[in-house]
Amino acid sequence: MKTLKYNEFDIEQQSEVSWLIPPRKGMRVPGKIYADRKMMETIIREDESIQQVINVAMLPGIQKYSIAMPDIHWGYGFPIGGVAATDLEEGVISPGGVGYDINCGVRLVRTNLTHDELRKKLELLVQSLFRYVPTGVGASGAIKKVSAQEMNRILSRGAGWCVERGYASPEDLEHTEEQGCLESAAPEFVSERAKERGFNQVGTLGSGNHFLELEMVSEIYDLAAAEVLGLFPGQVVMMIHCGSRGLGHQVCEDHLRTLGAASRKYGIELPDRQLACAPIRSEEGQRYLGAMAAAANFAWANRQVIMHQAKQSFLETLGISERELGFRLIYDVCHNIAKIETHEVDGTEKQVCVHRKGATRAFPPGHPLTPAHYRKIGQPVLIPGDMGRYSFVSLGQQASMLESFGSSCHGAGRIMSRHKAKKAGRGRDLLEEMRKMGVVVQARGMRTVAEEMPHAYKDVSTVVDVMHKAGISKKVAKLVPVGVIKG
Amino acid sequence: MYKILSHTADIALEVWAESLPGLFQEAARGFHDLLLEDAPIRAEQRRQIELSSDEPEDLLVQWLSELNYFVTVHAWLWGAVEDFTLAAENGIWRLKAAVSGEALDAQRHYLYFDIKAVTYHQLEITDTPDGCQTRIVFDI
Repeated sequence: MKTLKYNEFDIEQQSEVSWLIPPRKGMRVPGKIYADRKMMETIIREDESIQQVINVAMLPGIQKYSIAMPDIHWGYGFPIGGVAATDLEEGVISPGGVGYDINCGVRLVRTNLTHDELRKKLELLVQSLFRYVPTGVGASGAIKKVSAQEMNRILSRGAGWCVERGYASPEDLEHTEEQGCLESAAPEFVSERAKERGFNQVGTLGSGNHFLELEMVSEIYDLAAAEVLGLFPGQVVMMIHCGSRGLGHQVCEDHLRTLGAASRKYGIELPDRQLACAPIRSEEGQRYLGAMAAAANFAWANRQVIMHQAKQSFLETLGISERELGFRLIYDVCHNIAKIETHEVDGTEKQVCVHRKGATRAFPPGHPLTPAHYRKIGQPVLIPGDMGRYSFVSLGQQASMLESFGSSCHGAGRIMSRHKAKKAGRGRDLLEEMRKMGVVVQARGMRTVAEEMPHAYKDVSTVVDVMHKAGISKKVAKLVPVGVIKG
Repeated sequence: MYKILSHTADIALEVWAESLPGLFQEAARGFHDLLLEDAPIRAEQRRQIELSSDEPEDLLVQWLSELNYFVTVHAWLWGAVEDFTLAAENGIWRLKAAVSGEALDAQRHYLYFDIKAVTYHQLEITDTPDGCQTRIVFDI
């Protein structure tokens, strides 16, 4: 086992894929990072994300470890890929542990179609999806603008609102984390401005790294589990990656301001202003938690409406029946959230506030919150990669409950700045390059395509393999993109 | 003066000016450049902005967030900043400004970024021999 250095901190190797930073200088708990040795060396060299793991370890009431997943990279306050659980009585809640895009997440939908069957109509389908699902900066108008009253209902009920409005089936809710609704939502703590940012954005994708992808199941690592999930080789599935849009960003911004003042009020010393926080039991903390839950509900409604719009697009373009299409939600996970969950700490079960920022819940087989249909195999963990290579489906395993507060990784992470990626794409026909790789891309702007090219991202398979080896989430299937729509 | 900096996953603006009010206005110019690469904006409508805070850094975040709000919610682009005042009284900083601009026209304008938020990351306004400077990171 090896020990590496980061400034004055030691980073001790614990296993092939995990590292420990013993507490020093105000850290209340050790830091724990999942990575193989090569990755760890890159992480140390690359950015200040390790310092952020150390900063998070200083938060009042933090339990066991300040944790980072192998897709760790620099974020605001918390690193992206960071997980921290805090004690409900002595601990704090921090918007920096959730991120600006509250309940950014991933949804995977199965179909009965094979890639061979779709090939001839793929181009048409991608164009149609692009019409049905608004993308890009300020994307709006997927469905009729919602009223103020309806907005409150979306914020309170999340994906449940979609069932009322015919955008979802009850089965969809069964296959959504928290059934698509955090009941602790308090729309009264969502500002008018935040709601204003959301009225016209239900069912829209937005820009940046968000996408809707048609993918083909290219490899299966666990046949029995894949069968339970409804996956088979050569099958076409659809992945949606997006969050709570402008509404969530505004909730974060509003509450960062009040929690910044609250940190001073409660005498909490912070190593970084973006770690602004308040005691969970304080009024400020409760208000943020209520507003955050409401924004999370908005995101679930958003992804559900996108799925509904996409279904219309499939049916219209392919001219087949719903039964032939077999469009069914496999699962929907969020990867930017703080939730009150029960975990074992020092040999006893207790409730804690788990912050997951760029980390996915990964509950194991038998866990009461894993949907009944998946209880024998574990909760699906959906891990998107870049638009040229592959994404993965994994399943939560026992080690996640013992070691990482029921959490796994969430994606690839950029390795190249947008500017560099754009420069690297200059003078090239990127759409043609993607086509040669077997991927039809439709986007609002070529700049987004250049910025989101595969070479701008890490290889997600290495990230997924670390989690697999750590026994946190096991690989079930590899999905390769065949059609992409982006902002 | 300003400079746009590109990070691995984000974008930042470095700004210098001779005075604090100058810094705020320069930051708005830089932000405009970052979003629209200096596309010309017609002065068809004026909007008033009034903000306050107990510290200039927070006020700077509020100021740029307000401009971003016009863009993201009202699809309205600001061009010139007029009648800009910034002063502190009894420990409270107050900003007043009028901004002129026009509704976004997809034929003429292309927005490069969806700015999620103007962040507080390592935000600090520091004095320099020639005035002051700061660095603002945007979450995109």
